[in-house]
Amino acid sequence: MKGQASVLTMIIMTALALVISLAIWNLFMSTASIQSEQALTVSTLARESARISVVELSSVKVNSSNPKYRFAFQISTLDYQPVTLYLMILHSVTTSPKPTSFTLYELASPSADIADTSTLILISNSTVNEKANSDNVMIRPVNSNEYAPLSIYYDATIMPYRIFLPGEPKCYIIEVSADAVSDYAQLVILIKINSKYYQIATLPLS
Amino acid sequence: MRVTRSKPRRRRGISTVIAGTIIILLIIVGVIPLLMLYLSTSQTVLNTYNTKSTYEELKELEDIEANVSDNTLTIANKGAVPVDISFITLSNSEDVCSIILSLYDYITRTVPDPVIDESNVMLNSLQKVVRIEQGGYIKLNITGLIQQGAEDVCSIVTARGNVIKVPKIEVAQKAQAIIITPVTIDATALTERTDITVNENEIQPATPDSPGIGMSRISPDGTSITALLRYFVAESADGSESLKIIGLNNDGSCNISFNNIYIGYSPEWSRNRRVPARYNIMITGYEPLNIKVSKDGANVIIYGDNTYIENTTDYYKIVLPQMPYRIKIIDYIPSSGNLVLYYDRDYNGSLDRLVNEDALGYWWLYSDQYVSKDKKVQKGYIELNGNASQIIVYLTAYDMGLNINESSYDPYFFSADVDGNGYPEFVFITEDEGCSITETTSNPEAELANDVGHGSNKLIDYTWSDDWSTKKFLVNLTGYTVNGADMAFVQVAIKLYFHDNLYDNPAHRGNLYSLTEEIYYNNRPVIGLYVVDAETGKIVSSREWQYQELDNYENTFPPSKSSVVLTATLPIPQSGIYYLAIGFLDPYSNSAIDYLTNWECSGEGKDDGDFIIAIEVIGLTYYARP
Repeated sequence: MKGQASVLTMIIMTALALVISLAIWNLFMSTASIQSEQALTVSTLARESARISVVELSSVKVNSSNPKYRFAFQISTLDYQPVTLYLMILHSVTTSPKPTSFTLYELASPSADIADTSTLILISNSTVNEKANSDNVMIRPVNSNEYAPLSIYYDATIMPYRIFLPGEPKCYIIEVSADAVSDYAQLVILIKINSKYYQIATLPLS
Repeated sequence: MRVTRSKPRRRRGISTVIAGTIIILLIIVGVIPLLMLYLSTSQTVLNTYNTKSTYEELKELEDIEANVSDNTLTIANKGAVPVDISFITLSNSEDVCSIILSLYDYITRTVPDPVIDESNVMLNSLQKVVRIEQGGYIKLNITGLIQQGAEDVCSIVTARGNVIKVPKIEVAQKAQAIIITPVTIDATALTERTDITVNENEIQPATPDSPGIGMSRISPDGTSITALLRYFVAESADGSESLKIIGLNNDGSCNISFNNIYIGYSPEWSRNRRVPARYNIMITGYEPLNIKVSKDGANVIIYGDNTYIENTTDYYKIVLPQMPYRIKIIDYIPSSGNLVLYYDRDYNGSLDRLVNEDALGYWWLYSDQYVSKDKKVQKGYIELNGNASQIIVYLTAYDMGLNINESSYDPYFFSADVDGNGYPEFVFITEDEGCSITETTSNPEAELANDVGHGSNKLIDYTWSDDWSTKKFLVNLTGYTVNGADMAFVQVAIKLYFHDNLYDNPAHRGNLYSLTEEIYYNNRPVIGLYVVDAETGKIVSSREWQYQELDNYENTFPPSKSSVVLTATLPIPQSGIYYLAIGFLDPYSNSAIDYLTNWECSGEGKDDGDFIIAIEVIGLTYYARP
């Protein structure tokens, strides 16, 4: 009887150890999976933000009944590799960033005066815009190193412009209302990872 | 019993070990991937960080310089890494930097090729950028852009995101002067200059066969229009100072009386100053002349007949009776080492002996006939005994028996460094025998003229000789052009000496009818500065100085002159290429025929007046457009 009890005890202990080990292993693997996804996101963000350069080239004020500004900026990838980016303009970024509408142009010829729309090509938002829930738009608020969903400040659908850079530096022109510019507006450059949009660069519009 | 007791204990131990091993293995199986993932993630982040750092460092290391000059954009890579230029920005007509230009497209699509010069530059067709390697540069003609409405280059943009501002030349900076090296003019080399052009017909040697155009003079007896021409030319075969000039004095020298004389250093010697000193001398006289020039090693040309030349075995002996002459002696080296001039410098009746540097200058006698008996100036003369490279004697065509009434400016131009400052003067001289003054007993000042033996109520120099210009002589500074698109004004400064032979009494000036003064129209231009369209030759802007303005700078007798700087700021049209020209003329007696038929000097065209205009340096200052 003692021998049988000992064997039974050993079996039970072994089974228990196996169960506990499996539970721990599952916990570890779950954690590793989460960590892996986050690490992939982090490394992607780090890589993309490192190789994207955006710089303002010029700005003009367009006088009309509704005063606007046009900003010309260059976007380039420092490794000359392709990338798909999303553009969005947020105003009131210091307190409660909210998207604002804008118009996007590109140069119609090697030489173009951004004050003259005849030298520019309008990029239609119907073909390049994407609908995105603000829950999925991750921005970095002022004075923060952490991403936060835009829905904290603006809970609605937004439509960022999607642009594709084949690898060469490109010049784009955005036209935005003067009111937005005067209200601490920023051009926000986003990339898309797993259906979420992450801010990788900003350009103050002033 | 011992055996049966010991077996279960051993089995329990084994199962524990097995269970422990399984647990440990499971833990290891779970932890190691997690650990590896952590390490991998860390490595990825580190690599990304390194990549980002590399990009940032490369961006920081970019160092390019850009500037625009004369519609040429120069971009130079001064940094340690290659630079890819993507765009440049330009300002529009409202001075707003709103024009974006793809540099690659501009270079590859523009016809003609806008690249003026380049070094270590590559056009990258894949990325559509212009790559400039370390130390490389590219120079681009941006005239086409400016013609399309661009005003200026604002900035250069690199693919890495650097925006380099192109220094904008502000109005105040653009207004900075560009001083061109002072321009000096040597009459003997005018036709050889590549930066100066003249009408060669107006500067050619005035020989009887081909006298040229530009100047005329009245005949000594006042009966016809004639010209001053080359009569005798002697020059050494090799340009050296091998001509021997001697005379009939006991020491072999000759004394040449003069009415005026100009002595200065040879321009070439003035620049180098190697001993012995060489002088250029110009003598205008009237008294009989005897001078001998050795034939040895000389090329001698005698124009016209040789009435006044005695041709001996070894010498040409020039023997002139009393007639107007002019002599140029080039590169004169006195045998004694001393250039000697006798001149009554103080006008006290006794001649001073002026040697070497003291003898340099412009000297006038106007002959003793013009001086009162109490202050009678003796005849001044120069003592010549030495060597020279060239001797030219001019006589009037009238005295040579020739019917020629116009010559080039050759007899009237002369170059010498008269003040010894290293800048030779370019001298235009029409003054000859005397000052223009009338004889009248009612004018106390005219006591100077009491001894005139040419009859009363006559303008004395009319009866001798008078010179005037038939064409304005233009010295075109075609080597110093200016683009009207860049420059708004040119300021010209001319340092010159001026002297005239018109008697200096403002009360009498213009009072020609009473025969107490010399000219009636004192507002005729004598010298001018002109901005000339390089394409059409049309004068588009000018400043001329009239006689009455220049008269303030001199005193006719006793002779004195001032070194003055005349300046003029001349506007330049907004487009086109222009150059500056300097014009001279002697505008008086240019209607001489009138007074030949109306000797009483009672109307327009009877004016007389001769001048010396000696230009030393010309400075040009350009003022850029804002």
